[in-house]
Amino acid sequence: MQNLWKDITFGLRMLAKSPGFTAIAVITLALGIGANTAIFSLMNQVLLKRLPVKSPDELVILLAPGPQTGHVSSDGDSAESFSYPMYKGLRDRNSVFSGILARYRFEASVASHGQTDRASGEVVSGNYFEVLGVRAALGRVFSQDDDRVPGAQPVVVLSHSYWTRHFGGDPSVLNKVLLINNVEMTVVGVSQSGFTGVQVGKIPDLFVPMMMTQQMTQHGETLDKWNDYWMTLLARRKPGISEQQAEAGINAVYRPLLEEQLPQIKSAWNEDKRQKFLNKKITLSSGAHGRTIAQDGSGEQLITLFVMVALVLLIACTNVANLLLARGASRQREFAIRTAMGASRGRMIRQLLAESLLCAFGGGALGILLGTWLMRILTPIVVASAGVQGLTEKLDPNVLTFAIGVTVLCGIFFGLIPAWRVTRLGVSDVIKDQGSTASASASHVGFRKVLVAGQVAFTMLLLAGAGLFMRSLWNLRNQDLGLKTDNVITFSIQPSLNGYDTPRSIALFDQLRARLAALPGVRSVGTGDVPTLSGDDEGSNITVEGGPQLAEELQDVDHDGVSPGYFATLGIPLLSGREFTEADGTAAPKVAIASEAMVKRFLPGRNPLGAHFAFGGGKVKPDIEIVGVVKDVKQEHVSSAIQPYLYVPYAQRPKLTGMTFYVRSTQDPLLLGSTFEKAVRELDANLPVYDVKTMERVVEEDLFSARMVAVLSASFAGLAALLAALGIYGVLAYVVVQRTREIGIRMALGAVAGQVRLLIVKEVGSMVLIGVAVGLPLAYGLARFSESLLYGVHAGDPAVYLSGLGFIGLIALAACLVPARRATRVDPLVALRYQ
Amino acid sequence: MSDTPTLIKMEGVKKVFYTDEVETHALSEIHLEIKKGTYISIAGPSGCGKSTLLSILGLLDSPTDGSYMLNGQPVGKLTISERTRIRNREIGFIFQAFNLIGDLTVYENVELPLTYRGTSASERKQKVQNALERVGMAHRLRHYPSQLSGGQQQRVAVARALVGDPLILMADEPTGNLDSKNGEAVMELLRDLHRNGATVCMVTHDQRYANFAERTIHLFDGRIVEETKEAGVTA
Repeated sequence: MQNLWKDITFGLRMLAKSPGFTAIAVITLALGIGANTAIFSLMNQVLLKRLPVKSPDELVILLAPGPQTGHVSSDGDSAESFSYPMYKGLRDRNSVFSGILARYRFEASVASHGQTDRASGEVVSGNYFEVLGVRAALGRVFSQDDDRVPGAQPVVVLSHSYWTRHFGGDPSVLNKVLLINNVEMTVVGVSQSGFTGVQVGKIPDLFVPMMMTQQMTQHGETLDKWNDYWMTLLARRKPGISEQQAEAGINAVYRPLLEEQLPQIKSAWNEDKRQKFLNKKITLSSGAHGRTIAQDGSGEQLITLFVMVALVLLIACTNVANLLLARGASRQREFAIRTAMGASRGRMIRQLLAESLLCAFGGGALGILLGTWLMRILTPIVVASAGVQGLTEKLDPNVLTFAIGVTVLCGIFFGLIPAWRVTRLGVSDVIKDQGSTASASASHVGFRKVLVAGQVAFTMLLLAGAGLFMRSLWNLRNQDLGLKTDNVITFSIQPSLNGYDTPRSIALFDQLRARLAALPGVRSVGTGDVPTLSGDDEGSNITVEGGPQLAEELQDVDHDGVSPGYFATLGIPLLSGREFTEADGTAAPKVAIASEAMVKRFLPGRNPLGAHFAFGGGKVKPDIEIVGVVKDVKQEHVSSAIQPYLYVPYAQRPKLTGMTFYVRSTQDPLLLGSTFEKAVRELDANLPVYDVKTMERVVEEDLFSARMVAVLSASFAGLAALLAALGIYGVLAYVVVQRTREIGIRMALGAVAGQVRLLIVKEVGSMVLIGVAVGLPLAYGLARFSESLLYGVHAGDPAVYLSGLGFIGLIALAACLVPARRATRVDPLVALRYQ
Repeated sequence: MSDTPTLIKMEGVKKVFYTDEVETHALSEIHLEIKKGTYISIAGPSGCGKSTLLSILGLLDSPTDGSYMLNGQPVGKLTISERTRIRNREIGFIFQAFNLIGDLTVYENVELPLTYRGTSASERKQKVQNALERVGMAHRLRHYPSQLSGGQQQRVAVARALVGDPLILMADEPTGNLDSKNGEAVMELLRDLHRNGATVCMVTHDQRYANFAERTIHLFDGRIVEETKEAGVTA
């Protein structure tokens, strides 16, 4: 223990003696550890963190892949969607789960203290909190008693964060009545602090019993129809029941339930399809991390970024190892004397490890501070732009453990190798003979060059990755969306949450359009019930009169209910026919406008104008006439492929719940933002206006993931390049000192400055060539892994790799400038005196 | 011998080193003339200025004062690059510690001055071969310096010095790192080269080796204090 203390104090003294070395090593490590801490924190919260509930490892998610028919509602994998009768059957008949819960997310309009806000709600089964092991912080949570009579449970449990945010944590909220989606609901409780629901990134603000589904949800979800798939199920395994046993147990009760459901299916299924339906099996996936929608959506990006940032740390560690090697070489005499005095090699390695660990702890402490600072920048951006709720900028124990673990590993990694190498010389070699020292130095230089070649390889990998992601982003930004985003502002309202039926909603939308169009500075107004570039879509199969026979998967078309002026406002070119007019109302003949892609697939070689179709298949009457054709538009995402699309007048939609407005202005559209809210309030003071943003921001938000990956990967690549340049510089500076005599000889023999410089450049060249030779295939491998994140560029894009090579060449040249200059200033006379 | 053209002429050459506020006069009032084909040795005790004089003669250093003519051309005030060029073409160096580059083979070490001169590869090959044959090392051209004895390394250094057909060979204690047998052999080699027409200027503190030269100047405290010479040589 005393020896350890001595090592630490001596280590501190040695670090204090070389403040320059210490500062560079600590800052280099801090950059690497800080960036890793920040990205790991994101990854931990999105991918690794388990649900904050009791024994999350016992939870499983139920999936039933296979044929479905009827109404299917899903925000992820439709195999996750179950009907209420099926849920009830599974819940009551199984013997392998201690409980199966059901939940479904809905948008809520909550009126309280005289104002109406939007909130995120979940209808949940009565056993929801019991299965999860979540208690009430205030009042009570739901029980089986809340699961009995449809429509008879107007009660609500608030989430702890919503209660704190909206009611200031006031306990008197209990038993208060809130108007939720136009239904009076009594607050019966607040869920326990820290509970964030069962899906990362989507935190419910309030929970409502499933018996209130019809009153809360918008799309006609029912509690009695077998063919209405909408709720997702999570279950808790009974103690001692493995996942395999649970799967077998639940499938034993699933088959009879399917047989019970089969007679309810009205579709004309043949025997094969009926058998397929009856042979469906429930599969279980781990529920420890909850539903994996956010994980599936951003996992690849986060893992790619984490790999990149880990490489940056590796480069940083290599740099510090290189510095330690140089420092160790200059301390060989000290080690030789220690050996002569009887120190074992292990003892000296321990001494050096103490120094490197001290350095690592300095870097780690600074890195954690830097990581926290990066999190403060990154987290709000991710929350605001990617819509991933619940991320915190605070370091949780997992992240702190990670940061400390990385720090210790770094200290050992970059300390052990140099310690091993610098302590392996014989005593007499160093003490009595300079020549041998020179050869040992040559061995050090060789090893340091290998380390630098490794840095170059990793930098090449990062540069190529960053290049591909930047190129993707550039492609995304510069592609033709089919619409004009400049000077357009958008916002949404959802009157159905306030009790509006469809005719009333249509009247409201008509009035609001007229009011907005009359505002000063407004050039035109258009609306659509599917928000553009928001990731939402609404689709169904269609039957075209005289249309071609298409495979089942090609019969689907996405569609939107739009207003007159929609295309003009968004700058979508009308290619033929006409736009909708006010005359295309509810009672008017049904009309539609088709996109080019729709015409190409469903009406090839025909004049689309005047053609008729109907939504749905089978014996439907094609009574909707195509009256116009517009250019293809990126509707769902900027990165989505163009799909066939149909536009119908919103007044002719059978059901309307909400509407997104688009306003083209003659001035900065943001100046109009507040006037919209005023116009809406004048029509209905309780109607919340949400998602007020310019179309340019809509595009930017849609590109958030691509932008985040591109910007972060470019930052990491830049950092890696800087560290690699420092590494190259460090080795070259050392090489110049080590080769001073040789350079002197060469100059004595007539080498001019250019020839000496070339000597140094050749040193760099060998390191860079080896690094690039190793780095290129690695870069291609990483690019292949992340190919799904690329857009308009393939993993082997030569321009990207050539740019990466060029950049590596530039940093290598920049790094060798000073050492090369120093080399040319070697005075041969002085150099030869070394003899 | 009096008709032999003068290769080196120094008049009033001084060299002063400044360290902090201390002035050290390494050389004072050096007057020296060396004719082509001469074998001259510079002798004297340690610290007398022998190596400094050789450095100035070999254009590795420049005098503080005085004039220095090499082959009729004033070289005392040349730029670094001009001095480098002359060193490469007109002077061949032999050092006490051989100063071969450890990472280069014998062949590559000898080839080095020609590489800097821009000589074509074929010509280089021929000249290197000749030079190594002259010193009896042609059979070792693929070896690295570490694989040779000290005497062999110095022979290679001699070959490197003469490969570019310099006007003068400058040898700084060429036997200093050798045993007596190898030292004798190197001295014999220099004498043979001189007999074949080479001008040799050698620094030594060993009188036995100084006697190999036809003319010896003795330095003490930076001044020429004595000269022993054979016929036809002036100082």
